[in-house]
Parts: sequence; C-alpha cells; structure tokens
Amino acid sequence: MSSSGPRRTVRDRVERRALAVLAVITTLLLVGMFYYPVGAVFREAFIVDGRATLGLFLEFLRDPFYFGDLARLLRGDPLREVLPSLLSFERPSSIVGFTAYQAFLSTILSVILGVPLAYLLARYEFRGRRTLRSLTIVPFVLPSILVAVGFRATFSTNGPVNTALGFFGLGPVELLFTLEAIVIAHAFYNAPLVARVTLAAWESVDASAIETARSLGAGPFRAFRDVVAPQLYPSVLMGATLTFVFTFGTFPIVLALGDASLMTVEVRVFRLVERFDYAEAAALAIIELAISLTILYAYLRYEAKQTMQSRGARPLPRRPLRPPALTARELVPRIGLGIYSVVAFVLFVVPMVSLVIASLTTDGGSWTLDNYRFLLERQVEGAAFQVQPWPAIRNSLLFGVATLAVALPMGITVSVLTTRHYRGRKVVDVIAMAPLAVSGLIVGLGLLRGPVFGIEFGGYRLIIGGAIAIVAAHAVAAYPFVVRTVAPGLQNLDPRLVESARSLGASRARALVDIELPLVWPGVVAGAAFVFAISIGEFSATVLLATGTDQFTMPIAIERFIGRRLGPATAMGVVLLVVTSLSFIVIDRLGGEQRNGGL
Amino acid sequence: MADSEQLGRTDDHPPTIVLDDVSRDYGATTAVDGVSFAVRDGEFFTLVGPSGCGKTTTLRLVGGFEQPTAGRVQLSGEEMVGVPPEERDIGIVFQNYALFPHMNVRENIAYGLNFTDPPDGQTKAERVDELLSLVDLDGMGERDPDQLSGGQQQRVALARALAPGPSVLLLDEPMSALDAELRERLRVELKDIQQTLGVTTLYVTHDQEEALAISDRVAVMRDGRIEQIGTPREIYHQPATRFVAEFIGDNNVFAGEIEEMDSKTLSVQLAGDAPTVVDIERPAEDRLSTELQTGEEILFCVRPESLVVGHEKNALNASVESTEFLGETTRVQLDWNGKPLLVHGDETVGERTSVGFDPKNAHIIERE
Amino acid sequence: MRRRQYLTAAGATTVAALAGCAELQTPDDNGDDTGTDDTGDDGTTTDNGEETLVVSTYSSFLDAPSIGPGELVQERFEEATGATLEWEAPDGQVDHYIQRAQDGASIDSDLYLGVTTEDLVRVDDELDEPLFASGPSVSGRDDIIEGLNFDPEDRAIPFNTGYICPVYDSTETEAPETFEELREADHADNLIAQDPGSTVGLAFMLHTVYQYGEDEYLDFWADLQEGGTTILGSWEDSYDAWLGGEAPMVISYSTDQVFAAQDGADLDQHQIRFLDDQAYANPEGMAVFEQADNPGLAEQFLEFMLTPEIQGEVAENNVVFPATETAELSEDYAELAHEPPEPVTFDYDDLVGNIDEWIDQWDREIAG
Repeated sequence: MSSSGPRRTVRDRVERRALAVLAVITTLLLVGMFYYPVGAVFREAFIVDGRATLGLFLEFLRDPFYFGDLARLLRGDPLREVLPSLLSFERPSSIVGFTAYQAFLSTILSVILGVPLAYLLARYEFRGRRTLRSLTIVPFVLPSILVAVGFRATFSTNGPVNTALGFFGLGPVELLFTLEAIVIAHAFYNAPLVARVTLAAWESVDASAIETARSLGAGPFRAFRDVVAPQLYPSVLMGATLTFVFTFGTFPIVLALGDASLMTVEVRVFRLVERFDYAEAAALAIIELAISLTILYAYLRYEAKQTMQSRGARPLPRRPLRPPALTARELVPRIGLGIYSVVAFVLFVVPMVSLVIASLTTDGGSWTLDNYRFLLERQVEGAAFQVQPWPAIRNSLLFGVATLAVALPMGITVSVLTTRHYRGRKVVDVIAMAPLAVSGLIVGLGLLRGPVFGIEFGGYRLIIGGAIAIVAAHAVAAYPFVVRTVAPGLQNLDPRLVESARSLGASRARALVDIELPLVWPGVVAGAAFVFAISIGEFSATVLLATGTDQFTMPIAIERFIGRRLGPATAMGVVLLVVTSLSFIVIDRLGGEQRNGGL
Repeated sequence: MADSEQLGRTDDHPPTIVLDDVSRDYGATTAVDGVSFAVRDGEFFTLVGPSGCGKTTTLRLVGGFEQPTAGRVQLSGEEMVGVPPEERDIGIVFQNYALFPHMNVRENIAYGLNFTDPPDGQTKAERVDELLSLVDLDGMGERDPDQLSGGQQQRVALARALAPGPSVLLLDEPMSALDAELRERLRVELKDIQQTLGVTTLYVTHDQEEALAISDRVAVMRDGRIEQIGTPREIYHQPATRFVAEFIGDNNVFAGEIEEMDSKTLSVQLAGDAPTVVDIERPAEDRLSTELQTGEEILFCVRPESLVVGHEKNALNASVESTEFLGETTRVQLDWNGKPLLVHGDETVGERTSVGFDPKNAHIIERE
Repeated sequence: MRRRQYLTAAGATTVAALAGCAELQTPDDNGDDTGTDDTGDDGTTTDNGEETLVVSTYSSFLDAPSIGPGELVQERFEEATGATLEWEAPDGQVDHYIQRAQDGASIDSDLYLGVTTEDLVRVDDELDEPLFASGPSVSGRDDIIEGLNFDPEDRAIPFNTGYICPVYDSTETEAPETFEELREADHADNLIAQDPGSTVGLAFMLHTVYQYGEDEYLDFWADLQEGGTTILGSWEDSYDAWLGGEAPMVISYSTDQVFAAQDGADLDQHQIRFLDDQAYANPEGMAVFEQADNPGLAEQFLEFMLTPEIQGEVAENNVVFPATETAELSEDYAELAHEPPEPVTFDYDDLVGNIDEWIDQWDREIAG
C-alpha cells in the first residue's frame, strides 16, 4: 500500500487538517469577539455587592411592569384575581408580554408575506425573476432610521397609501406610531428572510418526487401537500423562528415607528445601559436571551427530526407567469399572486420608493438634488475628521466581502460540526446560534469593555480594533445564518456520499467542497446573501471597533449625516440601497442558480 | 485470542486485511465484540449474519469510517489505527451506491482519479473508459445517475470504487436493493470482475445463499462476534454452532445424550417424550476440541436433503405439517413428536411418513 | 456584456481608491488602537515639537449636515495657537469615557466639549476617582451668563446652550400658552414628543418635573398620553414625522426658525411656543480630563471658546445660544433664534440622586 497507494502531498496534509484548523479559528473568533465579551457583561447580573445571587432575576420575575400577570402570580396575588386578565387576548401591557406579543404578530405577518414570494420565485418564470430574487433581501440591510423615513412617508396621513385609498373612497388609515406600524415594519425586514430561506428549500425540491406522487394518482394539490409542503415546513418554520428571535430583540424600529407606550425588552435594556445599571441590564438581557434560545432550541429539535431533501437532482420546472390556458387551475394561483403583488408592492416597494423620493425633495415638496450635492461636497471638501461617502461605500463593500470570506467557512465548519452525531449537539447548535439572539446592546457593551478597551493579561492590555476586528465582529454576527441555511441540507445528505468520496481518496475537507456543498448550494448562496446583508447593515459593532473615520461604513455615514432634516442621511441611504442591490445581484450571479459540481 | 486459522497464516503472502481482537462499543452497546480474521491477498471474503450482527460495523472499521474501541486493524501489513479512510487505499460500494447525484457517470467514476494517478500510465479518460467497459456500461458515461436502472447504478458504483485501483474492495450489501434475478446475474459478474482484477474483497451480506455462492471464505457473525470462519463448504457441511447450522441453509438440529459409542459410531438417545435412539458417525478425533464421553449431551444436525423419506437407518415417524413447492424440489415440514423437521420430498399434508438418515450425514455441533 | 464592463470599471476604481486612502486618513485616532497609523501629511497631525490637543465631542458637532462648527473651531484654534487640534467623537459620548475610566482603560483625550448636567451626575454616580479636573483657570469665565453654570464643583465650563420647547405649524394649529392647556386633549393630540432616552425628550421631561414636581409630573404625562400625544424615541424621528405633517406640534429647539430660514421654509410653519413663558435650558459645557496630557493647552482652548467672536460663531454654526454675555451674534440670527423670557433648568444638585428614578417612573407610567 505504501508504494502503490495514493500520493500524499503537502496540499493533502493541509486539506486533512483544514476542518480542524477552521474549527479552532472559529472558536477563537467566537470567544474573542462574542462569548468572552458578552459573558463578562452577563456575569454582572449574578453578582450584587460582590456576592453571587439570583436576586435580580427574581426581582424582574416578580415585577408586573416586566411580567404582568405572571409576576402578580409569583408575587402571591390570588389566582382568581389574576386569571381573567391572564387569559384575555388583549395586548399585554407588561414589557415582556408585549415584546412577545408583537414578535408573534410580526412573525405571522412575515410568514404570510414571505411564503407567497418564495412561491412566485420558485415556481414561475418571468422577466426579471432572477433580479427580483437577488433583491429580495435588500430590505434586510436598510438601517431602521431609513425604514422609518420610508414608512412615515408611505403611510402618513397625506401619504401615497392614504391618497390611493381616498381615491377609492376608503381610509384614511392611521397606521403610524401604532402596534400595526411596528408589525408591518418588522415584516418589511423579515418577510424577505422567510422568503429567501423558503425559496432555497423550494428550489431544492426534486421534481421526480412530485412526478412519482402524480403517477400514483395524486392531484397537483395533493402532490403539493404530501410531497412539496413537508419539504418546505422546516424552512418556513426556520424563517419564522428567526423572525421571532429578531423581532423579540427589536429596538430602533420600535423607537422610530411606535409610540413610547409600546416598550420592548430591548428598549428597556437600552434605558438600563444608559444609566449604567449594567447588572440589571444584563439580567434583563439574559431573560430576553433565555426566551429567544428556548424558541430556537424548540425549532432545532424540530429541524433535527425533519428529513429535508438536500438538493434534488432535478429541480421543479418553472411555469410561465402568463397563464397557458384560461382554466381555473391556471388562473386561481395567478390571481392570488396578483393580489399578493399589490400588497407586497405597497409594503415593500412603496416605502423604498418613498425613501428615494424623500431624498430628492425639499420640505416644501419640490424636487431638489441638494441632498446628493451635500454628499458630493462632503466627499470633495469635507474635513479630514468628517465621514465621507466614498470611503464609507468602499469600506462597506470591503468589509462585506471580507466578512463573506470569514463567515462562510465559519458557518460551514459549524454546520459540519453540528450535524455530526454526538450527545448534546443540539445544545452546541443553540450556543452557536446565540449571536442571533443576544441583545445587540449587550454585545456592543461587551465589545467596548472587552476588545476595545483592552483585555488585561498579566500587566498587558490586548486591544483589538480596526478593520480586522470589524470584519471579525461582522462574521460572528453573520455566520449563524450560514449555519441555518447550510446545516439542514448537510444533515439530510446521505453520509455515504462523503464516505464514498473519502474511500476514493478525498480528504474530509475535499469531500465537503466536492460533494456536500454542491448538493446544498442554494443554502450556501442564501447564507452568503445574509452574511453580506448583515455586514453591510451592521452599525453598532462597527462604530465601536473602528479606530478612525476612515473605517466607517455606509450605515455610520447615514447616522452621521442625520441633521435637523433627514434628507442628506436619506440620500446616503439611497446610495446604500443602490450599492447593496447591485451587490446582491452580483452575489447571486456568481453563486449561480444551480451549480454543476464535479469536474 | 485469534488462532492461526482465523489469521489465515497458512498462506505464504501476508494477509491483506487483518483484524485482531477488534471491538467497537457505542456507549453501553457493543456492536463488534472481539472480532479477529485475516483476508489473504486476492481473496473474496464475506461477512454474513442477520441484521444487527455487527457485520457492517466491521466493514466500516476496515474502511476507517469507524474507529475500534479496542483491537488492531491492519491493511497490507500497516497499522490502521487513526488512519482516515482516504489514506487506506480502499474502494467501497454501499447498499444504496451513494453515487454523486450532481456528477454524471463519467465524473463519478473519475472522481477517485483526482487523488491518485490511474494505474499503468493510463490517462484519466482511458481509465474511465476501461472501467465503463469492465462493468459493461460502454457509452453511458454522459448519463446522470438518476437516469440509470438500479443494476446500472450498482455497476457505476463498482467502477467508481475500482477506478483508483485500490488494494481492498469493500462491498456493503451491494445487491440487496436489486431483484432476485438481477442479483444472481450480477453476483456472477461481480465474482468475475473480482477474479480478473484479483482485488482483495470484503463483502457484507445478510443473504447466506449469496455468501456461499460468491465467497472464497465466509465468516458468520452473530451479536458482534464471529461464530465460524471457513470455506462455503465447511460452513455448510460442518457448522461449528447451532446458530451457523440453522442460519446457513435449512437444517434439522437434534439434541440428545450419548448412550454408547465405539470407534466408528455414536448411539444417541434423542431428547423428547418418545425414547428414540439414532446412530451417527463418530467424527475424527482431531475435529472436536474435547473428547466425547458416554452420557454427554450433544447437538448434531442433518440437512433436509439428507433426511430421506423411507430411509431405513435412524427412522423417525412423523406427520406432514405443510409443503412448499420450490420448483426443483418441495420443502416438506414434518412434525416429529412435536419437533419440526424439514425434508425434501413430495408428501402431502396430513400423511404420516417415516424419514431416516445415513449416520455419516449427521454432523456434531460443538457449541450451542 | 455592458453590465460586465460596468462592474469591471467599478472594481478598478476600488483599487485606485484603496491605494489613495492613506491621504484620507483622519487624525482622530489617538493611539489607543492597533489598527492604523495616522501619519498622514494633511497638516492635522503632529509635527515634531508641535503641541497637539485632542478634543472629544458628540459626532453631530463634527458631521451633521445642518450644523457642524467643528471645522471652524479647528481652523481658528490652530490659527490662534499654532497647535494642532484632533477630534474624537466616540459613539457613547461622555459615557464612553466613564466606561473607560471604570475599566481602567487609558483616556487619551484632553477635554470633552458638550458635557451636560446629566453627564456630570452619571460621572459622579459611577466613578470614585474624578474624570474631569476641577477649577480650570480660564480667563473670560466671568462673562458666562449666571444661570448657565451648572456644575457646583467647577469642572464643566458652559460654552453654549439650547432651549427646548414646542415648535408648531401655525397654519395648522394654535399652540397652547401653558402646560395646563397643553395637557388638554385637543392640544395633546397635536403633539409629538420624545422619550427621555433622547436629549430633547429628557429635557422636556425634566421641564415637566420642574413645572409639576416629582409627585405630579406623571399625571401630566398620563394626560398627554390619554389625549393622544405621540411619543417617539428620537428627536430626528419625531421632527421628521412633524415635517411630514403627522401632527402640527413637536418638542424641539427654540432656534428652529434659524434652520427654517436656511431652508427657505415658511416661518409661519415654524413657530416657537414657550409654555408659561419658559423653556428648559440645556447648557453644554467643556471639561478638561483629569488625565489630560496637555492641560495647559486645554485651558487655552477653553479660553478660546469663550472669546466673544468664537462664542457667536460657534453658537450660530451649532444653531444654539452662546453661553457668555459678550458673545457677538449677527442680527439676523438673534432675530430668528428665540430665547425664553424665563429659562429654567435643573442644576447638578437637583438632578443628582433623582434623575434615574424620574426616568424610571416615567417609563413605568407610559409603558406600564
């Protein structure tokens, strides 16, 4: 064997260690940029006056301000007094109750709006489909201040929606600064998320499975219910779970579009951090995290039980959008899509168009290029200490690409590690997902007090900052998306595919690249799009870790360009919109719809 | 510990595959329990046993897909502990073939050639063509796996495994997804190919008939242990245990006590209500590990084809319970004092009959 | 094809810009990092022997499109002293330095521009060691308007102040004259306010505490909420909503007409109302860090900031009011920037030990 066996080269040896090395790097990044900083802040929740205690948690649990009727029960109020309001379906007035309530509603709406989009993109062929598919996740990157601008313009008393409703003798709807506005804005962010993950699953459905069902006598609806739907549930549920987790931790949107009576947990954490009540802030954030992780854990348990098809050998053919025949079977779904697209147009497109219009108009409503002129002036004449548009664009793109280069391998590595079978791997999976669920404010605080101020080691302070730290922080925040879009596919691949490849001489890493990744490719591309989106949209870690304005990104430029009027910031927002839209088109084109692997 | 026969030291060449007291535990359960065997260069060696007996785990231990909790695995004289599959110079065919669905037939077969040069200075393309023709799939290279029949897929998987010229071929129930006729045809082809290439082959099946038909030697496994290793004939005619006797082919196992014996014959009082004494041939001295004693409880078996209706020797009176027409023969199940017996014949149900056997066709089983 | 060319062109620009980015380096990097080296040649960094002053402030002082006195201050100061001024604008503002001090991280800035009363309360709540130096020797501080001095320990020297009050569109509504009128439903419904997480929101909330006392301010807010006041999280959002016509009245700055005039807006739509003839003053101070490398130069900066000319120019650029009696304001500006007949504010001693509780009670009233 030693003489006739495969030749082992240096590259082989590197490949053989590749996964182990990646796992170590991933762990170091996660510990350095997430677990250690966050853990240091969380630690404070358990220590009051130098003694370990759970007192803070008990205090929260017994405070009706946070836990409403539940707290009253824990405090010892009689059940018969508490029960009626506990069982009512009214909006909970307690902070935790309200936060969960609005997250639940946001999740429902996001699914309702997201799944039809996935259906349209997965099953119909039309001009601009690929572009639309690429742009699906653009809303995901918009800073909330811009979403607020777009929504306020769209739904204001004399905005386009009410004008249109008035034309039909309807309305006006007073949507702004209500729970509904928050829920719709959350759907604006998260329906694309649901759509994108569902789409990846839909594109992976194998046509032959449906043909088999049809050949066995199942009608198209039955075939959908029995064959397609079961393969979509896990993805839809994943989108829903992530939506819940994100909207449970919502913060700026609530402040910008909701009235102060609509206070979420994260807003309260913000308040506590502002007044340096770190212990309380940490305790509340831990409660928030515990709820989010419970939901995530429940989902992961469910996901593990599913048999999701990884990529089918032959995806479903797309139908033309124009009905080939005027039968009910052809017309009904298209009419449904027609209605859906009107709603989607109002909720997704009009706010973004409003944003563009806002950047091009004065207070008085006349057209102007002043806001863009400002950007140019700032670029050309801005003082050195000021944030300038072009470096911000450049940095955003560079960090986005660098984050892709880090987060994709990280996410794929963690996917491989969490799809192996060992005890407690679901716990590892949940912990690996924590960056999605931990309060952004706490992460920011942790980064500040950890890497930014320096971590002390025997008299030395290790200070981590600058571009590399920014990319690391982005990667840590973004990689869970890769895990969630890639791991389910990997999980359901036949392990013998990898074993076959390895028996033929491929290292584990090589088998991953040659065999597994091509078979879960739609998930990889979806994950890449999310990573890029997270990196482009990231604000708080970037602004903390940047060691100079030359490392600032587009969202920071937007924030810095906020003045009395939002015009200049809005113009920068339009730049962000255009740049990211183009980027997503490029990512999808590079990723390809179906990649042919192999030789 | 492994004895010399298990380690196959009768051959001049060093064995290609050696397992020495290998165990594999999963927590509290032991899938493979102290297994030892050796496979000679070019040998076709089969692990057979019921599902859950540990045969597939044993194969996976050889392939490096599992690591033993105890014991040693050697391939071509090299220790394999900690060596990953890709460095073991093996080829494997799985039950479901595990063809790469995103690659066509040619790409599948060529995959292993990314990591090693084709033998004899061939180009990749030449090697793939050679294998396509070896497995009788000339011209099918551009097809996708899902356009192939089950048998064709199996042959692609075989060609893929053989392409890099591995020193060991591992076959994990490669026929079990195929229909019976195809299975019989393919196993002849498989044996041909194996002999042509002379590649050492470890074959795993639950089908004892297939094991006997195709193998040079067979190891029968049960509950993680090897019950017996031997040529198909040895396994069939001289089962070492009651399990082997009953698992390999149809068999009639009798329990009894040695009443008398001389140098050639044992008189055995069969267990049961009606006292019946039969004579069986005394085995050669060196075949048994312990010396037989009068009064000793023993097991012996008689194959259905040796239990002949109307045979005068050792006649047993029984009634016909059921019959099963198998074409060449009819399998008849008899009831003898409440104990089922299998014979071949053309009896009809309900009939009373007498069956007997030649003492030399009885084989003493050493272990329960 | 055309798209591809376009993308290639964009890529090429990226490289060019990267190569050129060394010249765009900014000097607010104070050496507490590992990432960059700020040795640009743009004239703002240190030459050998030349003194450098690092001034920290809030980011809109430097970057906001509508205001932005940063450039002016830097140019004039560098002209006046020959020293170099570097800006720092950490996202957490004064809190950032409190956190640094708490964690024992070094503070490499010389002074903070924009310290508020609330900042000082937090500094003293959170830190045992002084963050800012007491009693800087600054000539010209006698010129400061008496009521604006908010620091009994004499660390923060006021340099400008804003006044917080309702701003309304008189073509849509007539604003209430008093708090008592405002709490009535027909006025309350017309108002967009902010929560105390924002500077403006906090000032207005403190004004209500000032007006009603800590026992009754919540009743006032309950009436506002009942009456339909919209309370948003930031001044920017609320002002944008007000401009968008969501409600005719917003809590904002008494200098609103200055902006409006700059934009050529109709001043009738930008009317100021001082409730009960009052407005809450939000004085901003300058304080020298205890750890300042260059306290002498820092004191020079304080003096510079208090000079009549700079007072006027900074106030006009920052769209606020000067802190000194001697400030030189242009007539146009004085006409548009309205000062309340009766400025009110809590000083340090009023806020210390109370402010967190007031905010917390407010949260519980409004969101509970």
